[in-house]
This record gives sequence, C-alpha cells and structure tokens, in this order.
Amino acid sequence: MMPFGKGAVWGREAWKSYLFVLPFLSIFAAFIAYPLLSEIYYSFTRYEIGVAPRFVGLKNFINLLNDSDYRQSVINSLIYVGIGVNVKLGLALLIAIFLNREFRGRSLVQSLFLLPWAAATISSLLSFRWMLDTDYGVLNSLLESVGFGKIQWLGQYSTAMSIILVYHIWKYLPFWTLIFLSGLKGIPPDIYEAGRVDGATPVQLLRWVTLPMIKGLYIVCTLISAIWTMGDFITVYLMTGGGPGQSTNVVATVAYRFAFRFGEFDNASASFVLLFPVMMIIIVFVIRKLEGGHAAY
Amino acid sequence: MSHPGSGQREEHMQVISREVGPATQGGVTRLWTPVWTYAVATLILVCSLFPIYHMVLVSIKSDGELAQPSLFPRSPTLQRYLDVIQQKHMLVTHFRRQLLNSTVLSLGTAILTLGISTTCAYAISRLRFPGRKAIFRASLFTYMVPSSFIVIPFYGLMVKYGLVNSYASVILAETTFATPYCIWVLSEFFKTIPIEIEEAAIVDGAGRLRIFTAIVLPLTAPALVALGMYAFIFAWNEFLYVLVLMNSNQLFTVPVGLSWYLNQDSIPWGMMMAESTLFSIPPIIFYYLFQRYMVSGLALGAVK
Repeated sequence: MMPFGKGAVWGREAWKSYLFVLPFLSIFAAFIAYPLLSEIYYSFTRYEIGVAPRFVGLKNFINLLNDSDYRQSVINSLIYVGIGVNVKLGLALLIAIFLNREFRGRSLVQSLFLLPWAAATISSLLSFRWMLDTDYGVLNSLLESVGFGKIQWLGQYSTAMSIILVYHIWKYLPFWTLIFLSGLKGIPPDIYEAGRVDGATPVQLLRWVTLPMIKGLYIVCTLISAIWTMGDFITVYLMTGGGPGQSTNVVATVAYRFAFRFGEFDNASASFVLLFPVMMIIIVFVIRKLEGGHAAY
Repeated sequence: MSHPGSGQREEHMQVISREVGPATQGGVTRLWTPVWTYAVATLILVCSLFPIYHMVLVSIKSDGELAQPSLFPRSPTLQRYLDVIQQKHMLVTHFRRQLLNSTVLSLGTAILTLGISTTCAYAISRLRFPGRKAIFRASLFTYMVPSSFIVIPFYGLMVKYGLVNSYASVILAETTFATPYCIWVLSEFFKTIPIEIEEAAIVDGAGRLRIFTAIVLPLTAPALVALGMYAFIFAWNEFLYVLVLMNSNQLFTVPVGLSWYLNQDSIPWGMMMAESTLFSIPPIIFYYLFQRYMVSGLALGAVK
C-alpha cells in the first residue's frame, strides 16, 4: 500500500524535495520524537515541573509496581482493550456484512448509524451519564417500572467498568464498521460470481470468500484499535473519574492523576513508559503489514 | 476518502446482487429476508440513536418534567437553548467565549494541518529522494501513537517555552496528531492525478512549487476541504490537551467547560444537554456533507 507513485528525479536539485517535507519533519521531531524520548528519560528521574530532573534509576518503576492504584489501572486497561476492542470489532464486522447487502433503505440506515460517531464525544458521554443517574436517570426509571430496584450504575466497580465498555463500543462502532464496509466493497465481485456459479450458498461465500479476504484488514484494525484504546482518556475520566474510589482508572487517567493532581511527573511518565514496549511492537508489526501490501489477503 | 474506481465496483456489485441475490432463491427466503433485515436494522438503530435522542429530549423537556422518565416531551421548550446562547445562567457565563475558543483552535488546526500534509504528501508520492520511505513511516508511526501517551512531556515542553495558556500550544498538539491521516490520504490521492499533466508543465518550464500550487492543489480541492473538516473535528473533540494546557474558564473550549459542570453539587442536566446538542451540530453537519470522503485511508491502504 505504500503510496510511492511514479516520481520525478531531480538530480542535483533533489535537496528541494526536503523543503516539501521539512514542515512535517519539524513537528515530528519537536512534538513526537522529542517528547517520547524525554518521557523515557523522565521515567528514570525524580521530576517535578520547574525543578531540574535528577537521575534515580528504576525507583519510579518500583514505586509503580508497589502502587495498588497503578496495578489496578493496568488490569483495567487490559480489560478495556481486551474486551472493548474485540467486541467492538466483532460487532463492526457483523454490521458491515449486514450493511453490505442490498435492501431498500440501506443507505438511510447506514447514515443514521453513523450518528454516534459524528456527534461530539463530550455530548454523548454526558447524555450517557444522565441516563445512568441513580435517582432520575431514565435507565433506573425503566427498571423500576418493571419491578426492579435502583442500581447505582457508576457506584460499584463491576457496573461502572461495564458502562465504560458499553460507551466505548457504542461510540466507536460506526467508525470501524465503515472501514470494514469499504474493505468488503474492495473484494472483487468476480470471486463471488465464480463462487455462485459453482453453487456456493451465501453462508459458504461468507465463510470461504468474505472472511479470508477481510482477515488481514481485521487483524490490522484490531491492533490499531488496541493502541488507540490503550491511550483513551476521556471515556474513563468523564464517565467515572476513576471511581468509585480509584477502582476504574485506566493507565491514562491514573497518569493524569499522578501528574496534575500530585505533581508527580516522574511517576506519570513511568506509567506510560511501561506501555511503550507493547506500543512499539504493535506499531512496527502494523507498519510491516501495511508495507507488505497484502494486508487484505 | 473514496477509492478511485470504488464507485464503479459498488455499482457492479449491485448489478450482480440484483441478478442472483438471495431474494430470488425461493418463496420462503423472499418473505423472510426483508422481515429479519428490518428487524436487525431497527435494533441497530435504536441502540445507536437512543443516547442522542435522549440528549435532545432532555434539552427540550420543561423543568417539571426533567425528573420523569417519559420518552416524549409533554410541553417542549427551547428556553434552555436561549439561556445558553444568551449566557443567562451562572454556569454558562463563558459559553460564547468557549465556543469562540473551540472555533479558533479547530480552524487553526485545520489550516496548519492542510499546509503541512499537502506538501509532505506531494513529496512522498511524486518526488524521489533518499529517506522518503522513512518519512512515510514516521507519519504512520505518528498516526498510531495515542496522544495521551506524550501529554506529560508535551506539557513540560510548553511550560519551558512559556506557551501554556496559549492557542498555539493546543493548535500545535492537534496539528501533530491530525496530520498523519491527511498525509496518508493525500499521498494516495496525488498518485491518481495523471503524471502527464505535470510532465507537460515541466516541459513548459514550470518549477516544482509552481506545478504544486497551480496544478496539483486545484485538482485536489474537494479532498482538501474534506480533510480540513477532518482536522477541524479532530480539534473540536479534543479534551485532554485543552484540560492540561488551558487554565481558566476564559481559555477553555466547550468540552472542558462542560466537564466543569460535573463538579457542581447539583448538576443542571437540562442546560448541559442543550449545550451538548448545540456543540454537536457542527460536526454532525460536516460528517454528513463529506460522508463519502470520510471513509478512512486505513481501509483504503489495507485492502489494496
């Protein structure tokens, strides 16, 4: 998939090419490479804003491993990524296959289905919170009307964590569905035609044509979504604020708390740096896969 | 961004499914296919639309009805929208200012992102020089890094250069994270422009920069508008970086301003939902205007 088309060879004037990429290289160096490297450095120092960092070796990492809030946040991040990403992408593929069929009103359904993704994140998050309100929320009212008691949705770990997952899946499902849908549309129709000529049923076509053709895309999407979900901050921060107690924090919110509640920029940096190896492995794998050019096969 | 030729493929597939679609495979199938199709479609739409409907519903319910679980407003009112716009409630005294901040930051991000990504994408797809593969990898890398992972050192950097509480700090952060997707989509797009056009211009003695501004960019205009919107919405939705980099009500954007309500003893939900609805209108309009362009470059690249 590398987008290198036919190009002009400039010979002696090749240096001019670098003028075109200079702006991007500058922001990459200043706001991606430099921060990443300095974060790794900070994680090995005692560092508070305004005070020069001082090298302390592995002290921050040992602190974190002994910190029950951090350990809990790692477990929650694993749950968030493990369940959230897989359920979200599984549903997205099913809905994409569903929407890839012809039926009257299909494009209307598809357009309306996009709405959760199109609406501002803050708006839908706050709407969820009000729906879940213990005393006045519509969810408890409906439960009460059919004879159940009130549930404190955000007041206990299991339901709070579930709500975080439900919101995440609800919000990002349309995005991945669209991607799978365009992947499905990219499968050459001749293959289906050939299958039908040979007498394949729709289920067989799905199993032996659609799924193998979409597999590469599905794997790449799972990995990319895993990294993004690992870094998600706003869902947990605004849905539960990490509560009840500090039980539903993910790594991003616990690091925010270290840095901007307690001024511990060193612990905050180390919280993220511990995730860097996972992030790097996934990114390198995805880039290789994309460069292979056969991600769909 | 729609794949060149995907429209044709789409039409082709429709032709095929009309010819040998499942609906022609017997009476029972013909009857049941539509029934379960619309049952599934309804289920999907109810789940995805209810929270949005709930937001609008609460925003127009009268005060007396707010605590009731009714799914239809009995005496709908637009009073809260007026209160928000006229800043008549103690909690919305900075709404217009915050909306302005959101707009300035998003516009700044859109313009800067387009400037950086068009030039870089052009070089990647059209020019040959050592390191262009590495540059494209750097952009893919940036595309995947979650922005929250570097918010700590980014904040440190902004403190060091005295940029905390400035528009510039947020615009730089948003531009950094919005650019890679635009580079990806644009470099695919540039490849589809016939190189003969540019070669003819070279023969006529035009310089690279002139070819870029006078020939390539005009041909790319619709894609540029769509990507500008992408960058705009990207910044419009930003939360963490504004929360970290801006320190007063005057400087907050609408999302961070809204989140401040949650610290109130008694949360004014009706007002919040009105403000939320207003804030969601621009991105929804943008998405629907440019829906066909918004299909991700991710799929575009990966299915090739």
